[in-house]
Amino acid sequence: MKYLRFIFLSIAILGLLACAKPPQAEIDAANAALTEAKNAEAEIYAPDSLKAAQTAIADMQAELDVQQGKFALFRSYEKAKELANAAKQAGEKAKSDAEAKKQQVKAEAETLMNEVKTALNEANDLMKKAPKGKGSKADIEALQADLGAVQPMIDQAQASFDAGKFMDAKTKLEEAKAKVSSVKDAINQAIEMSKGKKTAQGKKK
Amino acid sequence: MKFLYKSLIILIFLALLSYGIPYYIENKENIKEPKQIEEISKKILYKGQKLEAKTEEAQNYYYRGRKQVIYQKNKLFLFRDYSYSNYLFQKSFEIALKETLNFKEKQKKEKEEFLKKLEEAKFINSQIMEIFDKIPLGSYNYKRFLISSASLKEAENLYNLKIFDKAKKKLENAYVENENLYIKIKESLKNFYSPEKLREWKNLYNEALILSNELNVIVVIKDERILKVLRNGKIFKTYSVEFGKNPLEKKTKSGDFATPEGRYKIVEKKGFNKTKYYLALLLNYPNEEDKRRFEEAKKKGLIPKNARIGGLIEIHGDGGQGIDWTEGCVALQNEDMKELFNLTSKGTPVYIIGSKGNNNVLSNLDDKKIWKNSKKS
Repeated sequence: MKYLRFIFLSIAILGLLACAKPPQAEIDAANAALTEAKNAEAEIYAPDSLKAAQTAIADMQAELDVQQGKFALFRSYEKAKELANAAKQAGEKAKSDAEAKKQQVKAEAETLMNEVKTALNEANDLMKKAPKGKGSKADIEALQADLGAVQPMIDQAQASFDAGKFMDAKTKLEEAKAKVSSVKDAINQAIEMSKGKKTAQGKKK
Repeated sequence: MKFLYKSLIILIFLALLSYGIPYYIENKENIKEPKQIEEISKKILYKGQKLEAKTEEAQNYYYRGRKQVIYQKNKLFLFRDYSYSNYLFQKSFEIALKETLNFKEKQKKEKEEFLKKLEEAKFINSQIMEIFDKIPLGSYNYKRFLISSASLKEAENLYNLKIFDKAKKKLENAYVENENLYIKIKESLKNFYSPEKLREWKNLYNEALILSNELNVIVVIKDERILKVLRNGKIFKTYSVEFGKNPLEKKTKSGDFATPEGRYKIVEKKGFNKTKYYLALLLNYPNEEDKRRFEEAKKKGLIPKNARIGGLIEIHGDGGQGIDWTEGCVALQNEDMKELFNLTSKGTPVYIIGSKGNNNVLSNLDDKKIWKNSKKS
């Protein structure tokens, strides 16, 4: 009877030890947090935070691998659970960082959109003021093709913006800004040159 | 006695615990987690990744290092050995650092090259602008100049916005545009200032000077953009003028926006109500010489068979617009036109020449600096 009690107790302890299973809920939560961070475009908006989350997941996986490599009776998933929780937190941070940065980039893109549109209108107005010849268009209108390329760039940026691709929109708008400002500078240069000739005419007399 | 032995053993054991283990830990290398090297390795890895340097290999070493740390942490602390993790982090650090430095060096070199090329292109552009200030190069060249100037500015703007790849491509195009335009202008000016033409224009000018001893003579000098009134063998008045879209070309046909060259005279004086352009002096273009040249050009196929010779070349008002805007006429500012109108009469000789040989644009074009700069790139 005494032996039987010992055997049952041993079986119960062994059973408890053998039941040490990976903390699946925590692991799933960590992986889900990483996926959510990726869905929030953390790769674009919070790459450092995303890398930290990926490293935390890799740590968790390494711990799980170590435990899996042990004899069943000696496995312990306490550390893996800790690492999974840390990975989950890192994933959540990457997501919130990405969302915050995305909002910031969105605001920047909106400002940039207004700036580019204003600059385009100004350039078009400048173009209209350019002196023209007898029945011919102004030479400055040679820049019309360059200026004409700005509106499609704005349209593409708007499409990206509407699709929630704010970083892409911002990059496109920066390029549009570079173009429109270069055309504006060239028009102003041409107007200055034309004014310069007028002044010279006054002096020569 | 037995108690004494037991006590001695316990004492030795305690001594081992209090001195031996700390001594073992102190002297055994790599028993502590290599946090410092891991942190440095991570920092440089992230930096490299941000720069888009080649960091895949370094990243691989870093992750393997982390895996080793986890593995060692699962051992009893006395048996931990982080030497392999240390090695992996060290390796990751070395590779990431090397790649990052290489990338930065490459980037620095590319930026230096970009800025050097940008400076050269801007220099060529400024040279072209200077030529435009001195000589009327025509609408076509002017349009190309505006486009190439805008390209150059766009390249610079993109660079300032740190959109380097696009800035580089744009600069390549802008550089070629500016250089080609410079070469084209240089070639056309060489043709324009050919020794034969200069000789012919000089003769015409001398002829006008001699003739001015008898009556007022008008001389239009294209490359200086001026109209002179000669009187008693001297310059009596000088006015600035504007031409058509092809100011340096010699007129050959209708619609070429060029101003004719040669000996002409005023055939009609148009008062305020007879011209759209304030006041006008109609010239006898085409003269016999123009007609002969026109037919010859047609025979040689230099102009289309259905081309017409054109006419209605005038010296008129409404000038001072700052551009070459006429269809081949010579435009003056209105107050100048009024003065000129009163100085002339029907029959007043008008000499239109390309140059008096005073313009030093061509000699500036041979400035070695520009070619020394551009050929280096």
